[in-house]
Amino acid sequence: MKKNMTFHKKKVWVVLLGCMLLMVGLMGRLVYLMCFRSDYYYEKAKELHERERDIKAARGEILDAKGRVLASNRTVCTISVIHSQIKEPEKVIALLSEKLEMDEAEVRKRVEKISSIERVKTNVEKSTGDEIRESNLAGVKVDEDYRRYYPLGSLASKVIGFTGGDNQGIIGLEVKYEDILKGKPGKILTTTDARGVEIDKLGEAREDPTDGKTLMISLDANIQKFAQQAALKVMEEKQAERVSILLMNPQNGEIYACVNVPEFDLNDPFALTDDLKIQSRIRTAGKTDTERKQELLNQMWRNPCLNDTYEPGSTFKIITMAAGLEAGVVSPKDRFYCPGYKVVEDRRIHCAKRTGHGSQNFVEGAQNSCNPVFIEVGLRLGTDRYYKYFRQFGLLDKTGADLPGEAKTIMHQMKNMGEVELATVSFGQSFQITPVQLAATVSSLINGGRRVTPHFGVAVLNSDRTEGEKLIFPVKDGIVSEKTSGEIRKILETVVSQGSGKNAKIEGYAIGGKTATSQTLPRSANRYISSFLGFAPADDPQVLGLCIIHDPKGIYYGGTIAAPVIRSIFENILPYLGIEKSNTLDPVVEGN
Amino acid sequence: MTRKKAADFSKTDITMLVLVIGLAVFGLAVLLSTSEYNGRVRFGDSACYFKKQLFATALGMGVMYLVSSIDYHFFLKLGPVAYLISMFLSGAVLLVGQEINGSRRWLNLGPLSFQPSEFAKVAVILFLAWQIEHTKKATKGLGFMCRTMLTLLPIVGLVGSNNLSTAIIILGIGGILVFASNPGYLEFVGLGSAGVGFIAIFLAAESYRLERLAIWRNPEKYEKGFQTIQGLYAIGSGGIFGRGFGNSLQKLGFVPEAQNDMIFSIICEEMGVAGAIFLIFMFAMLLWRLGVAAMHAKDLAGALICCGIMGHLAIQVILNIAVVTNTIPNTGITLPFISYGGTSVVFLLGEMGLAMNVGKCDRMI
Repeated sequence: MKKNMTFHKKKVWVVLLGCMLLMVGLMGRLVYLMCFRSDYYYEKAKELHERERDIKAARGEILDAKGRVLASNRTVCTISVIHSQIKEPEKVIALLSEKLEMDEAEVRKRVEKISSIERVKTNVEKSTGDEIRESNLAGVKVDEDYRRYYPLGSLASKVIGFTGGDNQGIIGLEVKYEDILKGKPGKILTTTDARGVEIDKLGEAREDPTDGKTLMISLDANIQKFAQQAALKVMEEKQAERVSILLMNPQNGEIYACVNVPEFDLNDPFALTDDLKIQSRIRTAGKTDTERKQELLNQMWRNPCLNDTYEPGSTFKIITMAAGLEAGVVSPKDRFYCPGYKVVEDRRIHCAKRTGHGSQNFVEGAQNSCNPVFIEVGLRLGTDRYYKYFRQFGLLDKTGADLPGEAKTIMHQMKNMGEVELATVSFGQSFQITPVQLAATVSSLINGGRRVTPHFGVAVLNSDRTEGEKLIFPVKDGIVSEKTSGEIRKILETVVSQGSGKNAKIEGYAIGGKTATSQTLPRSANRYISSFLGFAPADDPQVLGLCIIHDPKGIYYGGTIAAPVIRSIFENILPYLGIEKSNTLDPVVEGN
Repeated sequence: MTRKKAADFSKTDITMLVLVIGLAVFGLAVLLSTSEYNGRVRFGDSACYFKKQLFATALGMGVMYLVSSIDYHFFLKLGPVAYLISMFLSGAVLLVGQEINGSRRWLNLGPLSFQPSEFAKVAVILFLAWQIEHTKKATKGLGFMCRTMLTLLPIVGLVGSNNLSTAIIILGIGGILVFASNPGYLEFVGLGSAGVGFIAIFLAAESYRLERLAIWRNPEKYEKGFQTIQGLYAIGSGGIFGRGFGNSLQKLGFVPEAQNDMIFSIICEEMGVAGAIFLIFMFAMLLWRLGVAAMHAKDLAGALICCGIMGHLAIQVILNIAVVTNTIPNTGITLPFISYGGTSVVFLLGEMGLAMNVGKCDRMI
């Protein structure tokens, strides 16, 4: 037996001391990790444990001028299964395949898939979702969700627009007012274990969603509906490619109706309209069917009143008239002679009436829509002045209408504008503007010279429909004088009462207006755009309407086919808007 | 007879006994909390791991009592036999062992499973104490050191082939015993440097071991650092007083096998730095009592047995906590009395019984 000697004891002490030192070192390490680095790791762990679930905010409604709902939400359900919580898989499969009208094999695949949560079907009707919830099967989850719903279907489809899968606006007002409509989603924060199963005893932190605000617009569903019917009627009668009608308040820029037929169904925006379906069957080289379809969809969703430009033709003579009167280069009594053409530089520019209008004063020239008269006015102004007024009237800028994708005016550069270009511009050719630009500009010229911003948005309402905030759009005063504005109104009234716009005449109302017929490019195709711009009452315009018919067959004169459309609309909406008939008109400017 | 037994008990180191029972109970409580989730998810029984561990602890307590009442010289004599048996078992486990989590470390004995590597540690302590006791030559100098360590090589090889961590522990125990029985200091500096050199070559030999080093330096950048980083999240989110007993979130499947090697991280999360330091303090107290027992042992064999047990406990505690806190690269070492493992707790309690007997015999003189 060996003795336990002192050096042995000393060595044990050394070992023990060494161990103690190491342990003190580890304690130091722990203090560092748990006191000084604690926040960092705590946050990291929290990120790991917490699952964030969004609670969708209800998107704000869109109401028309009378408070009628144009865009709303419908509650739909999303059905999911949580694999780890399912107790009776066969029952779940049977119930879901029955209620959701899904293939059993498909449901089985979802139910038997080992995942934390598996979505079975989205956009399920609320009633179906409720039935599934009431069956109370463990592991089946029914989440409610909002889906955009448009009660009036295709009405004003290109104006209102629609939303995508995440309820974000895709086109139209839904995009423009996204920030107002979308609201702020809420959050549910839950703590879960590593498999993603929520830990019930810890509860959940909740941040409630803020619902989107309601947007009230100036569009009136009744007016829109009537205008849409009128547009459809003329489109059918004239076998036109498409028809656009724009009705607005020239005093403040509020748009009452913006029709572009054919419209599309807002509740099914990815279905092509019939005529586009035919086109989609035509294969285009170098494009897949999906690309082709997307192209056609984009075309279908366009709002031609705003997204496309066209050659306005004779309706633009109103602008030339305004510039000439404002500059003082012409007065209503000035006399002109029309031989049926006018020679500008080396070109002979024809009048619509090849035989000529003969001798006429300026007002008669307007009534006859005589090209040489307006070419003469344009030439009297000269390029610089004409361009100055073009800019002053706001034609070079976008109108600022509250819809996305407004197209820019396509105009000659001033330095490239010779006499020939000036002459053609004077009667509305060789450049392009949007219909809404024309309507807004004429509105501003006849309302006393206030450049208004055409718009739909009127007010943002709180979700209980109490008024929140009025939307204000810019107005620029003094683009023409009050006097010029009055003269324009009077001349245009005679165009309807005595001239080419006589088809827009309504007994008891003073209507102002201007017709236009323009040939589209290429001129050889013999395709026309017929249009009519009218307003009433002529002495104090409350409503301005623009009807544009693209590619009508048969008779294509604006005065013949477009003016009656505006007349039928005015006949109905003037009383509707509370505009009384009056027989005591101011005496109009006499032609002779 | 009864008087003698009473006297026997009165000579038991009560402090040590209290510490051992305290650690065992603390271990069971922590295990119950930590394994609750894994037991529920895997076996549908929250107390599944706890029950097994409770059984092993009860068995261990019996073993401890039994061993403490038998003179340790009896076990000392069994040292060489135990060593041979452990070699046999360690060999057997390589051939017929049961594989759990990709390691072949268990022998199935009917309803029980047995981990030979745990037995090997005790066997090595007894065998080395016996060997040093019986060596004729002076227990000093480089020659003695090398001879003694060489006798360990077979078991280190057998165990180390599939359980590197236990092999390191066995080498460590051998090193401590040789150190305690040798009066010199200088040669140990040499031995230490040799060890460091050996480790360096060992690591460099295989690239996957170097990868382990890289993971250690930057656990968040590697997929394999997952366990380490989850342990750190648990430790760090404990703060000063922790989330409270049973409230760990990291045990919910985030720290893999939370009831095993990483159990200390869950203690930190639930009890905070206060609880963690308290536990380390308990271990330190126990080591101190074992050291005292070694110093008061009436002969060298008793001293070496206690020293070996102390070394075993110290190495496992220190390495485990160092791994969990990412102070050293990851290697699988369990925390004595706390981590899940029946064989481990039975043999540990047996070792405690042995140390208590050494202490008792000292007082019998």
